[in-house]
Amino acid sequence: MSLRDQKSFLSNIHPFELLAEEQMDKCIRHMDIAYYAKGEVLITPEKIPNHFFIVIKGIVHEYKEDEILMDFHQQDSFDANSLIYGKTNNSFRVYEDLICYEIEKTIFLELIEQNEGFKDFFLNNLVNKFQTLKEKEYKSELSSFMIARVHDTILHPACIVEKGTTLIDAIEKSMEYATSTILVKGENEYGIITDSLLKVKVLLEGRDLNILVEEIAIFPLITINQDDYLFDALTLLIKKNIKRVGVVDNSGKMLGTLEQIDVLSHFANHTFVVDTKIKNARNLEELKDASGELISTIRTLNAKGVKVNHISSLIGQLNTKVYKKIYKFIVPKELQKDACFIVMGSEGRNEQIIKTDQDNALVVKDGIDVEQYRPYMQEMTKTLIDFGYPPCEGNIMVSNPFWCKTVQQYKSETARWIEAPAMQNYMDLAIFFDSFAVAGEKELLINLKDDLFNKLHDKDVFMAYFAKATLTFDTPSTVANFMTKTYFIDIKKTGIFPIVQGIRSLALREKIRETTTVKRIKILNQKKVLENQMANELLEAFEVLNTLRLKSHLHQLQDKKKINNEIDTHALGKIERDLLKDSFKIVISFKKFIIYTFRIEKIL
Amino acid sequence: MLKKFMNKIRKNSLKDKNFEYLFNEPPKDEYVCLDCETTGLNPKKDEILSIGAVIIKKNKILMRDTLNIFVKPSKGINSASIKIHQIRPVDLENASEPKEAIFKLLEFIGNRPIIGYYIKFDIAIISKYTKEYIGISLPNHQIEVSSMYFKTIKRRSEYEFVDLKFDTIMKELDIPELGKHDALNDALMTSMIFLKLKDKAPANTTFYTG
Repeated sequence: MSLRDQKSFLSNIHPFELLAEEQMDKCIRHMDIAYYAKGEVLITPEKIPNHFFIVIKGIVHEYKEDEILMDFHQQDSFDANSLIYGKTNNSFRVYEDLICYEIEKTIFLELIEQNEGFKDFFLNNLVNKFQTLKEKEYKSELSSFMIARVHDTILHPACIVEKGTTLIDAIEKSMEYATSTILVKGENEYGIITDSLLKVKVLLEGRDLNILVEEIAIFPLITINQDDYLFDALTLLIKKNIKRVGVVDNSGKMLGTLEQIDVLSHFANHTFVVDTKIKNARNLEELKDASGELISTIRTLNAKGVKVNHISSLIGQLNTKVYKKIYKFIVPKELQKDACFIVMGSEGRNEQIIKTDQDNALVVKDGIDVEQYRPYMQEMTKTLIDFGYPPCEGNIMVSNPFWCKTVQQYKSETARWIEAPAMQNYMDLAIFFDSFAVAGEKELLINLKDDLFNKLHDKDVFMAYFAKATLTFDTPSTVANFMTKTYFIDIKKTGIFPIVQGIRSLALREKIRETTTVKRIKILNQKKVLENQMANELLEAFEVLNTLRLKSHLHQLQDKKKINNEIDTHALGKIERDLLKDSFKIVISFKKFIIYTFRIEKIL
Repeated sequence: MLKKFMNKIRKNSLKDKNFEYLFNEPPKDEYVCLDCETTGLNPKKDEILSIGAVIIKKNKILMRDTLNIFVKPSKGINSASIKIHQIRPVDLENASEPKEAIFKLLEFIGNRPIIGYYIKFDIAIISKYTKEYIGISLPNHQIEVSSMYFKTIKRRSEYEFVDLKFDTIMKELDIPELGKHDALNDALMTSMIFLKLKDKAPANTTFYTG
């Protein structure tokens, strides 16, 4: 392979692209190509090689005792740790005939000494590695920030007048349209009259309002196609030093105007628009309309590279507003404050970004007749479904009488769950523990949670069973060979659920009221239940898994497919694959921590 | 036996004693893999344009020390062959004189066995030069990868056709395709084929060489 070929191979692999020219050359001058047959052992605790490996073709598995920890494919490299620290607990075995580069140990260590970025990547713990990889990923993701189209933003309906209209009539018409822009239709083109033009050409020059529009209009109006990139629109505005352009469709029909401020605010904060719409909604119809825009908000935020954690808390807040309004519109005023509308499960944890189901309930004050709420709760569920919040398959919805009760009734329910546990009861308790009050009297829920914490005092065996659910699904230690076939991994079962359930168990035991997994992790960390490193790793892994899930949800939504939690590992990029593998590694060690801390072996 | 005898005769006709090392016992587990780009397919008439060669030691291809030389042809390159090897006259501006190139090559390969794909042709054309400069053809042991490949293929009958095209072998053995086809890249891919087959087929028997 010529030097150039080797260079281009290497510079496609992070962090090798960080090497300076002469460092890269040195690296290449000190590497060979080696071949190993299936089954050969490359590294063991007893045998640390003198090389750093980069896979050209083939698969290598990393083992700890008999358990596979990682798999390495094309462009993957290993094992920096055994070279840097001179020891390893793991072994590396060729799983599929391997052709690889081998970089001499001394050179590899030298490069680590010489190059900060290189060093950071290999020396830092997983958290920093995540950061580096993600920054790289975001850099490429950022480009999608530029892919919003003109029709993705707000268009101002055009106030169009014919040539020959008097200025006064045109201004009157523009008032009806509530716009400061008047378009004048000529034979083949449009002209434009703006407020500032009126100021200069009419007020300052003291003209009469009865002149015809074409006397002052500026021709031609610059236009852009609705399918053009918003970024192009922005460029056009800046280049021509203008504040608005006309927007036309493919047939040349004038659709409206696009203003500079809209473009900028689209890039800045689309959320603001949705928030205002929700706030201003005067009836269910308008509210539905506003909440329907949440999806595009999510898409925009995701494309901008906003962390999933932030997106979900933002969406959570907007959702809460929607719930509050629905509650207000549907439940009669006099009943509103004697009950508390709660969302539970993933919604309660604020972790349902794309609506996949609804888990909600009503808590009614003791001494108030629950029956009078029932018809309104039927209405609530119906409305939410209409709003696009898919119904819950387990019927954990407020329309189900089971989930519409008084405080006292809930208390006896939780007592029953704890005293006579069965799988369904564990799950009900888990969902209920994640509840979050979105409308009505919050105190009712706080009271219920206090009661729950008191009941669980000293219930170690119950907690062990509750925590055991963390282990329900296996987490793969490898991401199967992406070269050979499409491969789907249920990212919720394998990665997200174990973190959620493990953290939920710890939070329940520690009487933590926060419902989001992220906040729970942070509090557990403050309480020293989780060490810094584990807490940070969990936060990162959780973020990665949720990001991958969101990305796949958005794809499924776009392709109008049924939304599920399957990730096609075939479709993942190299960096994403690495992040996924590292995340699984973290989940696996977290599961071990849960087994240990709840003494689950005792009940297995 | 016959080989030893032949080598003795060859050694006697060696004009330059500096090259006696070619007849020494080769180092264990070391090989050279080479590929030539030529002006045509007739060893008698055609000339070498470039040579790529790598050293293989046990299971490794020593990339830090590869050979990639261009050779000045005695006459212009004809346009038909340019299309095949894609070496244009301009690429040969910094090329070596044939004698210099061949000496460099001999130093590089030493007495190691030579691996190649249809290696007989490459040996024949190199030998044309060595005969002229040092009086002998290349004495090194030769290993033919297509023959190794042939022996590893399970066939249902003696007559079953085995596709020995380079690309087919590459594909069957799952060898990565390297950038552009040049002498060095071809030598490298051939080396990978060799490494993959080394322990599956006896390396020192071939049906192309004596």
